[in-house]
Amino acid sequence: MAEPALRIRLDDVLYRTRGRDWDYAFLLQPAPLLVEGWYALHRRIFKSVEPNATPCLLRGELGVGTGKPFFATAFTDDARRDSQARPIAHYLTWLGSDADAAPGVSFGPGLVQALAPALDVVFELGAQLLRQGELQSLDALLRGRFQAAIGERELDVTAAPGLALRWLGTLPA
Amino acid sequence: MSGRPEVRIALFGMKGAGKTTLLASYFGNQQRNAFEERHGYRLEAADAAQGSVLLSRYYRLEGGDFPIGTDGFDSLRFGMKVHDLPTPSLDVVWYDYPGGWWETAPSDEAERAARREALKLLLDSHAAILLVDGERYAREGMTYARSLLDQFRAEIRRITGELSALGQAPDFPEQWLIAFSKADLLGEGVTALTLAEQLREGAADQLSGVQKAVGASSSFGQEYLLLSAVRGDGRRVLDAHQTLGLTTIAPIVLLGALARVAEKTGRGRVWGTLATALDVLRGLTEAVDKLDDFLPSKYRVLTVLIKALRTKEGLSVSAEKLRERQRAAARRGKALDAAAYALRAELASPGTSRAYFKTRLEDNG
Repeated sequence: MAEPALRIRLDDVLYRTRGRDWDYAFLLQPAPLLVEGWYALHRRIFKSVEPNATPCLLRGELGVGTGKPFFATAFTDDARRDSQARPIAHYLTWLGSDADAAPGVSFGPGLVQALAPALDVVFELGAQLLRQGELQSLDALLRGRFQAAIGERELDVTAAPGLALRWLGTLPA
Repeated sequence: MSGRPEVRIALFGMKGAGKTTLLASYFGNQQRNAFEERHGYRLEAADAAQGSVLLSRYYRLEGGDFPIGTDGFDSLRFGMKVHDLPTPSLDVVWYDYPGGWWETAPSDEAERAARREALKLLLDSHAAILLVDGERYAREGMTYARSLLDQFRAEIRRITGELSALGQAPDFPEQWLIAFSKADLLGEGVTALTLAEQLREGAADQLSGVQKAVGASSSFGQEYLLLSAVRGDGRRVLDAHQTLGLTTIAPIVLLGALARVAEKTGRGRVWGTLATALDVLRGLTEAVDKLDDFLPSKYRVLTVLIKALRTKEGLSVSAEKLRERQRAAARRGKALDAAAYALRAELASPGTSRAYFKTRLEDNG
């Protein structure tokens, strides 16, 4: 059976991960819903999630304005490890009506695979560059390089059948 | 908030120092049936979802893998539930500060606000622990230790600046413990005392710099702990049940409060190995009734427990004997006495004396 494909606009995706030496940073950020940014909303979505090799799937709605539906996933990446040899985790939140309409399939590994060339550009950025990052927001620096390495802003992503899906309800802003 | 006495501990360490493993092992091991049977108590997570995340990290340890690095600040509350009692007697609260905060600016205003909230909790902690990565220390020696302390001083100065900007006095905890993690990789002969001597000889200037930054009255550079959350080889966990020092942390924080009373009442400086420290504190047993007069206000909720922890015996009473008293107190429904005996039993456990050392003030370089 052919794996389903999803078309995902990267402007709808909030993506947080870490590199070999750098700590967690946002590599993709949609236009902010709140003036203070995405950090608190991201933490709320993944509050009770411990990522492992099997992607977890989370659906819900952000209680901002008239509500913003999301479809999120988190999983570990055995191929990419941090400086302590621990697998890194990917946290992806797909926002908006397309995410709401998407079937409950596992889109995370396919999306990371599609983004792999750009992730490879930043993943091993060394300590010296990170020191420069202290002068400005590190994730702004990483995000700039990551996004410059992305070609298309819309990607066709292969998805796998999803396992258990959790409904988080409406999360307060 | 439960309304129970609580010990609040702030945990600092750079990424990879072992904070996540320490907290997963701390909770997971004290959940085990074998632990409860032997020690007569267990920990309960106040937040079931948080407990479930910690347990999944602990199962990962039992499976041989270290947990993945965590993202963001966590506040973890555990109830210490003594066997035969219906509810926990004491809460132990951990504030886990991400190592990445030392290295990077906040990503946005929301993260900046989250950091500010976390700083307020630091000021309200009874003790703070700076975790030294034992594996890196074994590999890089004093170069790593000096660099860590210098970076930590810079972080403390940054925090002080943040607090000043908010109009708050940087009133850091007085008790600071320098804890070496991954003690299983340091060799059998290494103790908190030997590590304290090395650090005070090789990084005296850096220790003094941090001590000044956190406050001249702080114990930074005087108290040392040796911790092991698992037995491993640096890459894989070989035995998730073999730990050192974890269960002594809460009683050592309470002893720190007692030691401060001893100093403030002119009854001498408490220093040395755990056995010596307890010996010095014996003299305090009956002498000070109004602990509240000598304890900083944030300790007052713990006064009853600290009183119960006072004991005429040093380490000469065995852990088993203390656990018998713990069980007897629990049967009588004396929750705080039972908790105090449980904590005293941890201090008397074999191996614990290797894990703690406090230097004399006059030894400060």
